Amino acid sequence: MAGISSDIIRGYNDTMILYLLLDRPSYGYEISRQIRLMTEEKYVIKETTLYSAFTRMERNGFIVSFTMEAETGKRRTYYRITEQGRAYYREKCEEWELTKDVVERFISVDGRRFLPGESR
Amino acid sequence: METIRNYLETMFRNMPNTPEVRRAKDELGQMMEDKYSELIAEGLSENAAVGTVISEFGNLDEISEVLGISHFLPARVENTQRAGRMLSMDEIRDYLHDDRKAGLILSVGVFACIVSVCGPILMDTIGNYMGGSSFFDAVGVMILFLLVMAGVAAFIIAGRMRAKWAHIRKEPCSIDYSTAQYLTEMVRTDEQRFSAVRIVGVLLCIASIVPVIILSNISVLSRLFETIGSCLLFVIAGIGVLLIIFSIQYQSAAKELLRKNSGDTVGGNFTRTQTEIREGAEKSGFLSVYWPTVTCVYLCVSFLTFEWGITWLIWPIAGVLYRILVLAVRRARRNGGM
Repeated sequence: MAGISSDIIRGYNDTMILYLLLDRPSYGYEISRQIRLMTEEKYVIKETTLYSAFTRMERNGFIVSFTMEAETGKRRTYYRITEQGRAYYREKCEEWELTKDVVERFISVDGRRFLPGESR
Repeated sequence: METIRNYLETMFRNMPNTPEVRRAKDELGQMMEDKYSELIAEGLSENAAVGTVISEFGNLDEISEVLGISHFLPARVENTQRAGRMLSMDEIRDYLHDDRKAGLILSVGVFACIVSVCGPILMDTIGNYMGGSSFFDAVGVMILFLLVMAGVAAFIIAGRMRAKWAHIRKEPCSIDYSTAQYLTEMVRTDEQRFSAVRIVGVLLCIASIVPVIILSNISVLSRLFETIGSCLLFVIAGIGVLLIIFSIQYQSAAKELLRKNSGDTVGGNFTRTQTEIREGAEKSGFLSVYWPTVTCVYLCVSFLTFEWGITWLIWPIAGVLYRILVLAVRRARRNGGM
């Protein structure tokens, strides 16, 4: 099976991170671990990619960082989603629905075509 | 864990030394450490865990881009050239070994030159007891010349040994994180040992006058005792100077190496913060020659005036002056924007 295309996934790293921040603040490794578990290890986010996303989104006001002591007593940088971030997340979800809808019209496996919305 | 930290330091060593970059490095280090701990907890071997963490680290260009230091990327190439090649650990060990040997030979050479004057002094006295034969005078002068020759030979040998490694001192080159750590640790341990050696050296220089005072006050056979006293003065002062020179020379190479990494980059960051506090004023060449100079002035003035009862005052005055100079140099450096 072909690996995941980093070009395509790049546009949705922010979406994944914001999704994981919707309910509660989190920190770097926890987010990367969640992504790995939720995708059943089909996608492992690189540390540099994750940190770049944090920096970029913080600059755009989608997330804010703060330092907090973890249960173990270790000081960590946590990230919290902002209202702006939630709005951006909804926007990205809509964008993905549209993208998926468009691209899927052109996908065929073994000559079998799928109509949008049809399950495989 | 050590491997991961070294890897991170090496990746960042040519990045500009800014708060943003340092923060990025800390954050990435934290993530890697967390991942490593969990992999170990899952039962992976240390090697496997390190391998996974490093393979999933990613690409630093991504970081440079988002931190707005992409303009630094072309400069990074130039920077690497300026930083020169990396020195290997073996090379550094050989260099330090040779440099220390040269330092020892040099100090022994200085010692030989100082004690050479004992020849004529001793032979003159013996000659007097033997009935004023000029044969003994000749022997005395010969001893002097032989010792001076030995001293000069030692200087030449030491210079040759140093010349072999001139490329390390002149060429631009740099050391990696673990080497810097190793050297810092070594300088710290040696510092304690050699500051004691230096103090003993200074004390010997001061104490060298004691035998002369005691022995010249014994009236019987005073002439012989005076001679022995003055010979002892040169021998003891010689040992003192030897210890001072050797203790300074011993560490100079390691300190020099630690200064190789440029302070503009993260690689230089480690070196500066780790060594600046300890090295303090010794960093400037001027202060490093301060004590040998004082010793030299003390001996010269004392021998020219023979006012040994007063000239020791040079030491307390020099001590106070040293503190003032250290403070002045530090202030000048701070104002210089360091």
